[in-house]
Amino acid sequence: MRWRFRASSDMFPNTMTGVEATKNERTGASDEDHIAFHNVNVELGERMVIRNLTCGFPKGRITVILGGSGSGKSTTLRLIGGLIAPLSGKLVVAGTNISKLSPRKLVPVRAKLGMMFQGGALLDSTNVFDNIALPLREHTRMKEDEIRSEVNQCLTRVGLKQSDGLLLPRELSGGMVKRVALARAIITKPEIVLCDEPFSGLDPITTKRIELLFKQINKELGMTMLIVSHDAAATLRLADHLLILMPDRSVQGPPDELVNSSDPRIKNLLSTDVDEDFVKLDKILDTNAGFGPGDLESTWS
Amino acid sequence: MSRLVIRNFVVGLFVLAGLSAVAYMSLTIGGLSLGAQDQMTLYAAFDETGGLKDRAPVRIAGVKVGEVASIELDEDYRARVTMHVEAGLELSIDTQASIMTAGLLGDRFILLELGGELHNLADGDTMTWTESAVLLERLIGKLIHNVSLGEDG
Amino acid sequence: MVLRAIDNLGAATIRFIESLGAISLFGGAVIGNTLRPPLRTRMLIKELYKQGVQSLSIIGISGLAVGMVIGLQGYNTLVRYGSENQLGVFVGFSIVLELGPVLTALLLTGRAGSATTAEIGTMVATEQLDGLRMMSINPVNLVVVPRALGLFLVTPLLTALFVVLALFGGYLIGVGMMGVDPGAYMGNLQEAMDFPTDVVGCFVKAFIFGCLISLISTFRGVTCAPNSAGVSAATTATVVQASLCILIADYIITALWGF
Repeated sequence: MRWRFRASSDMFPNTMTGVEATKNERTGASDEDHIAFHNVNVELGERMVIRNLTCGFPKGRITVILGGSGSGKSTTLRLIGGLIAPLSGKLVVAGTNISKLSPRKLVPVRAKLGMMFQGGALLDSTNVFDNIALPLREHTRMKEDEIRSEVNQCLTRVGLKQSDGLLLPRELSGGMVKRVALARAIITKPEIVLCDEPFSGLDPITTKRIELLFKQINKELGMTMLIVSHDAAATLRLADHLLILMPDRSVQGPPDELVNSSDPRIKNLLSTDVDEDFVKLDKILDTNAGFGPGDLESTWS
Repeated sequence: MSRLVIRNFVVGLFVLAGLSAVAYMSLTIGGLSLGAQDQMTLYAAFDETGGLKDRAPVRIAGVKVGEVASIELDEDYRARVTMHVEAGLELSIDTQASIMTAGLLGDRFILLELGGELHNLADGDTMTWTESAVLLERLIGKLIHNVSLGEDG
Repeated sequence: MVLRAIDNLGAATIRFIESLGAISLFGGAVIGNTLRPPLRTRMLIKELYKQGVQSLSIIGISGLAVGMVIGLQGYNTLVRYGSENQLGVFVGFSIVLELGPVLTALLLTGRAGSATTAEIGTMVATEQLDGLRMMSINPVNLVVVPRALGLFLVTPLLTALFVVLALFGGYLIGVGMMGVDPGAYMGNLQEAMDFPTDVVGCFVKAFIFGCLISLISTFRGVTCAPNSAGVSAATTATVVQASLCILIADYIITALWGF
């Protein structure tokens, strides 16, 4: 038996009611963790990648996972998606313990998840439109014109034109790939969006545009967002909550608290001078006619 | 869109070519007859088959009318040959089956020579008139024997 | 030393049995997903194009060349015994029973099987299959089945084309160059060739080789290590393992079929 979404009216409420419902939930249950790790250990091959990790991710917020390379950032996301199973420990995603679930039993959990992969992970043999429409075509009984309007709406939301839908993944720029990947991750309106290195390989302007997009989507759709990054500046601008993975321990908390941490390693990870970064960006913006400083002000000030 | 149509067309041509090659192999080369040709089974016992093989042709006046289905040893230690021939043939009951050789060293086949009886052989009948294979090495052996006898005498 | 060797032998045996189990489970999943709707016609046609139409040139040229070589060699041998009229039989049997299915399968492994492994392997390396899993889409259903089915269907068709072209190649040399009687070439061939054993046997081989190529090349792709070294290792493994399996299977079928 293949799992299908329930009737589209349940699963795809029109945007207005959906937003209101999630907004109410957010104020009521913002302290409740949407995803929780309890003493999770992960071994990949011979190496312990994650050792005794206990942490939680608040519902409806943007959490950034920060850490050096090899600290298990991407592994954390893959764990939540059920792509790898923990060696031991308990992992609760949206109320379900998924640490020992079979692929079939993971289906209802994954329906609440959308994942944006580092390289986009778009099917390179089909165009952007079909890539985004794929989960709708596979799991719903939506008619082709419903799918079309849903996908086009989603393309607009992530800042792409409808005509971009006809492009093949190899014809996209780095920023566009990230946008399409995001569009595919949110097309089914999941509760949780997992983003693996969404800023990798992007120039500062595109990085900020994608950041803006995350903020917008988080605000409008109320999705819990987990973002893996190693870009300290972007992290501090974006995060409501921060999880820092280090080889021997992990720390979590609001970013403004962690910035003042006494641990030199945390200081080091968060050390980018944000103001200097803005100055640099302003210089770039002055030479770029298509993107005025006003756009940024409305976002960041 | 038209690129898709062209691709579909080319794939269609490919499948068609492949299937016609399959058909050619089966019908022309393999001799498969689609309209399930009726066959009748006849039996004949020989003292010597001389290397007759399964699927060897059965001919009348050089024309192939069937083939050998199997060769077994019967209770009298003779070779019992089962052959399938076309069902429409009217072979008189005294038809003789001989094992012949195509050329000097060629393959063995069975030659049917019609007799004069009024009754015809039916499906499952056994032919009583048979002629065994002539073994070349025996002939040569006899020849040498005779020649040497002649010299002595 | 001896204990160590026994240890290694045991480990190798266990690994071998494990991989046999894995590929059997995978094969079961592929068959199950092939029978389950939806039939992805558009994707299947695309694969038939990539694996079938684009392999036509190499299969066609090889078939013609092999037929011509066998025709020439066969003529030179047969003419010594004065039985050059049997050239059709000589070419026909070597092509239909052995060379046709085996060479087609080997060429197809190199041409389409390796490409399939590389394609699926690259999809693994770029997390495309994980992306599908996250959307609760079974990669076997969406990615593997059209490719496996394509390879499986294309093998007997290409085998038939190879055989017909090889027979034609032998005809060209025998009749066209060496002056064998055309009636004797085709007549003797038709008389010697039998549908239920020879032609069916040829297609039994083609179907089994098709299964082997499609199963091994997709399995190696899906189990590929997610990096470029992994893709190249998987592609090599496909060519080596599929070729060996084809040759071993050919021996077994020939022995069992009783040609």
